[in-house]
Amino acid sequence: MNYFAAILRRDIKMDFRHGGQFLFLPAFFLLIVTLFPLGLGADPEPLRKTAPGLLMIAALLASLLPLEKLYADDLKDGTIDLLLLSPQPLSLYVAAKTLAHWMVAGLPLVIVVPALAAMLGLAIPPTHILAVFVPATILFVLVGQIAAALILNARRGSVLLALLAVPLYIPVLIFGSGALDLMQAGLPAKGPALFLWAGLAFALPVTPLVTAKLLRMQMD
Amino acid sequence: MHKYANPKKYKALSKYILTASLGLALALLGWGLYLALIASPPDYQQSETVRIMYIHVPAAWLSMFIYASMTVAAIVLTIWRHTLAGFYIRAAAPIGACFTAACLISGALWGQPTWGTWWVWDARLTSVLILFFLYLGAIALSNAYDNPDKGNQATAWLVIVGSVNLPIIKFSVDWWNTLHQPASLTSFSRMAAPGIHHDMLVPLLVMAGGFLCLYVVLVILRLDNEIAARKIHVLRLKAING
Amino acid sequence: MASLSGKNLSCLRGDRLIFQGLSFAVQQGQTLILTGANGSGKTSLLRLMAGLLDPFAGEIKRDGNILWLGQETPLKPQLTVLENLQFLSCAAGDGVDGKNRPVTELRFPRKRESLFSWALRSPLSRGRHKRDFCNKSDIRQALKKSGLGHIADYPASYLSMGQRRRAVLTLLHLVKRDIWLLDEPTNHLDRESCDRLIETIAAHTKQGGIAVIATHSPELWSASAVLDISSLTKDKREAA
Repeated sequence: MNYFAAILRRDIKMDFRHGGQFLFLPAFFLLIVTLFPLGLGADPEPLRKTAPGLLMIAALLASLLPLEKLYADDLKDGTIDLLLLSPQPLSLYVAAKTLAHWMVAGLPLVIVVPALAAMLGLAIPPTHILAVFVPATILFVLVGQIAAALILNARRGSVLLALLAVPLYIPVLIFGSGALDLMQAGLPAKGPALFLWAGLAFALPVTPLVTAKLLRMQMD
Repeated sequence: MHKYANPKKYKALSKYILTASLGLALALLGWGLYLALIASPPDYQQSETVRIMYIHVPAAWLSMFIYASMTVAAIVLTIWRHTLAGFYIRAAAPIGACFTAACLISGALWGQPTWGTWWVWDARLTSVLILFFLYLGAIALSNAYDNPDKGNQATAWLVIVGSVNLPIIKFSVDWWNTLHQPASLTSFSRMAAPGIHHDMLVPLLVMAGGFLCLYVVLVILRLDNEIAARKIHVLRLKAING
Repeated sequence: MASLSGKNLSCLRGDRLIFQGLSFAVQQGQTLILTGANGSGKTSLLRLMAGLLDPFAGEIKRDGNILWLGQETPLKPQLTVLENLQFLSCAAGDGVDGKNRPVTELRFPRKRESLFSWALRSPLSRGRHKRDFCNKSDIRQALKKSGLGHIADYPASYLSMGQRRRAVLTLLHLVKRDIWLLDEPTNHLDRESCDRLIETIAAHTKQGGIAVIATHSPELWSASAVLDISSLTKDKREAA
């Protein structure tokens, strides 16, 4: 079996058997979105107006939640030791891990977003919503894993993780909700959406290398 | 340059820098405050409140300068592993956070009489606020490690990632501001630097110089603390492990 | 011709000098036992040998590829024993072709690599690799050999500490490597599995392999050499 595929399969399998993050995260996402009408009032007009921002913020929080344990177990039980001595580069492991994490923690959010958008009265075709949420959720994982690797040996990991990751998420939030805003207003939104894809094109090759370097640093 | 990365050689040098910059800081701040509070004219629109600028703008400049210097130190640490660079990041981050906070607070105090509100979500203020969070993250991360070296290395990486992200954040916030702000608010461009009058520019630059010297004094004092703390750490390790 | 040697090694972790001026040499067919008090640096030395840690000074020469089994047991509780081993034998690296045995010689302190050289290094430049060690029936066979055949399809969370250790030691049969670096391999093991492990290692060295074992009970092993680190570090301490 291929090295990349072995890691991908293992991680997805582990998540499915572990009670299924892939089911609970969309539920958490829905829960956060439910809080907004309860807090802001059920009047559909302000909800519809703020829906782009609400959806992005809820997706951001839901992506933050499962990050802490991303590398912690593999570091603690010595799996990374074995991987470091294998002939394959560690960044390949990071890339496989990232993809697996997005499939169980990012993709489920993307799938439920159109439904939540409808609940908030956001009138945008689902394909356009996906064009924003697919790069946004991948970017959340790619950038967030750097924070996850930074906190590996640190105390108070989870609070620290949020403090480190959220400022780095801000551009994704701005361009994501900005694009949805423009779409809702019927204005051309290609610009901000393309910024997201450009960010993805930049982060995709760079972040696994940085994270692999960080994991190596955490080892010795 | 590399010679002074050794804490001992650094110590010999830092004594002179400390005395010199302390004297310079006192002189510049004294002169600058005299110019800013007494000698410079009040603004014809904002009258006396414009004097807050002499604190606000140097603090803003320093908040950016300190993060940039931390980035340089972070790169030095990750490439050459100079311990002193790690100490510098630890020493500089809280000072940078304080200058950033000073910038935000003086901005709020200035905003109240000028625009009638403590806070506006304008692009510049928001960017500075995010910079403040980046500082907080660096401080929290550097203190969260039991092994100080590893903490410094992790913080160095965070600072590097942060500084790669900062221009993107700045760009996105500027774009956000044009998207969301009504036109009336964007006219708050704080101060058009080239348009500023000579009588105000001189005290501003003197104050900025004074702030910079003050920063050098503070960072050297904190660096000494870091070196001393590390010595204690080593002594403890020796006591336990022989 | 597998061999492993180190000259004048010093190990610095954080601010602590763990040992200095340590030299050793292991030839093919030899077993080296590392002993020493707690905190004397057995694991650090083993990690140096593996290349998981860079020495502060000194030089290490490795001729042959390495199988590393640390003190931890890298088994995931959600996966079955079989799946775990399938992953580990694949991750621990595909078997390396005997003809392309890597030779590494490192001197420390070494010139720092440029920031991106590690990124540019291609996996292909590290020798040609043959992969066939993730085969399920091979793994079942190996598990049977270590007495775990009946629980191959159980989730690893059901295993006791000793069984976990045995499951990980099964990798010794699955992955072909010249140099075995084992950190406290007998932890939690019962008498019978201990004997089996000793046999396995004897067979490995007989075929020209090398085994380095960090342990607190050196009397168990019939070693070619025993290196007691604590005596070494103590001398240095008194000298200093």
